[in-house]
Amino acid sequence: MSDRRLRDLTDEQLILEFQETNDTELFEAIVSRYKNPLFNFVFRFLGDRDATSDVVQETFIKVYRNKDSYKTFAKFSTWIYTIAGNLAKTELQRRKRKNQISINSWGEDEETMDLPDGGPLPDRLVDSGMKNKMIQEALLKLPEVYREMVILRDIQEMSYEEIAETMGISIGTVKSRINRGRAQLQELLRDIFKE
Amino acid sequence: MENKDLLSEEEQFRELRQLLKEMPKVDAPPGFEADLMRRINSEKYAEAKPGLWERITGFLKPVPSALAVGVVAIVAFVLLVNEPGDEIIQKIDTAVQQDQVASTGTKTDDKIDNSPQFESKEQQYPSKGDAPASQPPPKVSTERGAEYSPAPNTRSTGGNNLPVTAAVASVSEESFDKKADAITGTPKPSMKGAAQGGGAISSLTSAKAIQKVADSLKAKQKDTSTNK
Repeated sequence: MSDRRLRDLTDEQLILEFQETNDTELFEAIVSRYKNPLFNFVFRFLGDRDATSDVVQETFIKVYRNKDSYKTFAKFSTWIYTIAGNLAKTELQRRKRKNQISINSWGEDEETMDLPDGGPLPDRLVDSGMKNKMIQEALLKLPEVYREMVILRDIQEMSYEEIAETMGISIGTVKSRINRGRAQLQELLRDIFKE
Repeated sequence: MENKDLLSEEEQFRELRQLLKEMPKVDAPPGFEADLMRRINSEKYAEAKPGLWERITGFLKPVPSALAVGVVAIVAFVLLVNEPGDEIIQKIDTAVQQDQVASTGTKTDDKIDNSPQFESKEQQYPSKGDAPASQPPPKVSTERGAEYSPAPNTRSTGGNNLPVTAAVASVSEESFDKKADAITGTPKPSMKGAAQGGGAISSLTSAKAIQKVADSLKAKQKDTSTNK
């Protein structure tokens, strides 16, 4: 199958064709499209790169093995985000049980994170790096329900409808939860806003 | 005033949203896809193999049937051990022993001669007339250990004391009472487990035999006295 044709296909067409043909190329196209958005979403939710890598891989494996459970009436993005969100929550619960949540891992990741080229001066870089670290720490302090909503809306830039579909709740609930989450996050990031 | 607050809040949220939007995107590490495909291929291989759970359940398949067989065996064993027939036999033995203790004046611990020789010995005394005259009447001890006094109707004729006969005669009524109790199934406190069911029948027959012996002895005594 040509790359061009693969690029032209929508997510839903890709998964439906993958259901029919079981062609690995189609699955790889899906992985290529979603690996980074999912990685970003799960990383903001967990704050741990290794755990994020495992969760995202697990998400794709689930998609691969349960491809037939996808129904055409659902949007593929909401389906795959639902799987990733559930796995991320499971991972978080598991880690809570083990009491091994390590915020320090975020600091290590921050050091190796790629920053935009030709950007601000080194002082500014350090400053933005600190700010990002503070935001991430504040996100991790939010209750899970609010955290997920805020990440999906304000970081992943999903619509309220998509979030409602992903979470399986009403749009009104989504909006109220996002507002509460934002308010709590803002309270946690008071120092940044004072500047 | 409220509108100003709302506006400033909205403004603050706008700032927050801007901050979150500007956060650097974290991408998947290099080699992520290769690792993923490797995992998928290995899981495919793992699917073909029986899983750990399947292996465990396969191993445990004969366990329920073995358990059932074991339970049945245990139940059968318990039933056989506690079979009521044994109890009845035991009760019969106890009833006969107690009956004989009452009739012969020997303790339960003493060895009771149940053989036909016992009856023949009893019969020998009056027929030969050589029973010891000075022999005192036997003290019959009950199970409780109380001494048994001879019955008032005990007769000694011509220096011929017949302890066995006397004992039999005095005890006969008592033994019949016991048998009646045994037949009706009413246990007596002093005869624990002795007066029940089948034990009564055997003790009744033995008591009848003793009664016959007693009657015959009485008749012989009368004959000897008349002859004298």
